Amino acid sequence: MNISFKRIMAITRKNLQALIHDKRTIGLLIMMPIFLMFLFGYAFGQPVKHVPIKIVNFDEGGEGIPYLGVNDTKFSEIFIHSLKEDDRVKIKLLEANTFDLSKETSKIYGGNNYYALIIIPINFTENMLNFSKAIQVSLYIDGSDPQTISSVIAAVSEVVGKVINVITGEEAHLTIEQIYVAGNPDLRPIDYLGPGILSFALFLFMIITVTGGFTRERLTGTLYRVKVTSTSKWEIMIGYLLGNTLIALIQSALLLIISIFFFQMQIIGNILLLFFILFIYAMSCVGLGIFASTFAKTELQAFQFVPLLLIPSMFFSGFIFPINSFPKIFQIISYFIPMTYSIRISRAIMINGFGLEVFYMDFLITLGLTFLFLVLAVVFFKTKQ
Amino acid sequence: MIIEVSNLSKSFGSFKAVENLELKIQKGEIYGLIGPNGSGKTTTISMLLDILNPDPGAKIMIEGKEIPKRINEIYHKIGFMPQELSLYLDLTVEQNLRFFGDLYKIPKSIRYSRIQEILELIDLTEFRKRLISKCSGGMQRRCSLAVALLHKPEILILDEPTVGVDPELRIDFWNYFKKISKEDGVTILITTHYLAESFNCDRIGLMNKKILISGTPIELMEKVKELKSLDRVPDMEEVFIYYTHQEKIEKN
Repeated sequence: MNISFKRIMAITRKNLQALIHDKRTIGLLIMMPIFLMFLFGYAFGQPVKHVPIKIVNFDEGGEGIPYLGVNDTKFSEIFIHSLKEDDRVKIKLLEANTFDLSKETSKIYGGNNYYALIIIPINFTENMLNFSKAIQVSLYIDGSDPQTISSVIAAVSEVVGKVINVITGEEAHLTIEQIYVAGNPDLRPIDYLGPGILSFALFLFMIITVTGGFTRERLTGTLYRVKVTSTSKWEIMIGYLLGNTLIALIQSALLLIISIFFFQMQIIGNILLLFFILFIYAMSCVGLGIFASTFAKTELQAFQFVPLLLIPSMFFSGFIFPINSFPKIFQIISYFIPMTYSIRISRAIMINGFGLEVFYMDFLITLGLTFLFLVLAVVFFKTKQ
Repeated sequence: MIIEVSNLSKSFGSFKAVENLELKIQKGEIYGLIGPNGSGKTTTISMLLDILNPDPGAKIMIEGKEIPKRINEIYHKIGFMPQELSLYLDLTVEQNLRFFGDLYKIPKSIRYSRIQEILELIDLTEFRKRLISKCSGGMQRRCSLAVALLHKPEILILDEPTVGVDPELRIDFWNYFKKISKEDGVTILITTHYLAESFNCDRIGLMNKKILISGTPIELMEKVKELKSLDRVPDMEEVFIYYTHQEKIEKN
């Protein structure tokens, strides 16, 4: 084998020289590692924090029973106070007199920023003072995000347990009655990840085909040739939208078939509604893809947009890591990611069988984001050189 | 006049690609923009078709309609063959034709027969099911021309249509252009950097960022013969070199 050092160096030099002329790629080369470092740093090993939950306290206290020198004691208040100090949850107190159980539980859904409801019973203090009796707290939960909810359950049982221990000295026994408004304790990882994979796969496909496709149309000149037939940019965009969303729906159907037959996933809710949501979501991906393509001058640059768009969506949408485990700034970013809503709605439909009446807010935001990305695409997309 | 252009310029930063170009083309005429690579031919065509914005102050009229304001009223009359391939590589010859046929809104009833007709014309009937990516360079150029001719345009704008085309096919192309120009009154604006091809045109404009001189090929040669006091008729290379030199002298 004849290896020429000169040739090797010529190839190395050529690659570096080409790079120097591609300012965008250099920018990405610098930004990408910084970006990834922060993402992985924050996404892994961060505990779930500040999960919004509500408490309603029916505890009537232990009237007339002096304890530790206090006459009227409500141990539930010590519990609530301790729970407030715990950074795993963020508490909102509900008024006991106006409380409506069925109305409240119907609102428990991550998308409404409401993951669980704790009901402290009338005899909480009394039972504690009687030592021997079992103490029960009811916990209504949206269990479709197991990581988030296990953190809530852990916080509640630890705090109540601690309070009971201090007061009754391990005499009383605590039970937390867990009522799953959504999801169930036997949820397997695939049940939880499956709906996310749908949205993720659609996003991946749409971004690659649309960003790459539009960049190629511009580079090969077909875009201008199409323009000269008096086809408007609206017609081009709507054509792209229809073609790609149709593929998105076929892809979704395929993924669903695999999930049902190979992974025994159950779809409790309305499958047509699920397809409708995915259709809207796919449109937002096409809009985003067209928008991204307007910044790419070469196909290489277009492909660099794929990880740039894909990685934040993957990390901050709640696909794998719960949104509540991120610092506030990343949680704000998650609000602008269509995948956040699409995954949450897909889970709500597939795992919980929820309908629009529960996740209408998430649905409206999905519509809004789709509209926003399509407008951005229309504004930035030019059929001129 | 079918095409009338004045004061057409295009700068890319400090680089002037086209400078104060004036152009007049009559109906049924084959007008050749002749010039070397980089002389601004494609840039000019892109501006005529509203693919590229000219510098302010330009005036472009096609069929008496102001461009770019009324370009959509005349796009359907124009057939355009760009310099790049500009076809979908992952579609077959026939699928590309059908796609552009639909964009030109060719009625369904005649679309099929029109595609057959054009495939025969460019001798691609046999290869109509072949993917463009699997076609030879010459076949791809023929298909590209077919797209431009598909909707029977009244104005043909062809950017270097004969590049990469073998000599035999090149002759066929020119014969066809002459035929539709004479018989159907199609106006053709064609660019080429092959100076020898200028003889196929009714009139030519020698171009180097602007039209240096315009006229029939014979007129231009006679003129140079006279100006240089030659005892023979100069060839087109000599004519071109003469006018580019003259321009340099004028500039200095």
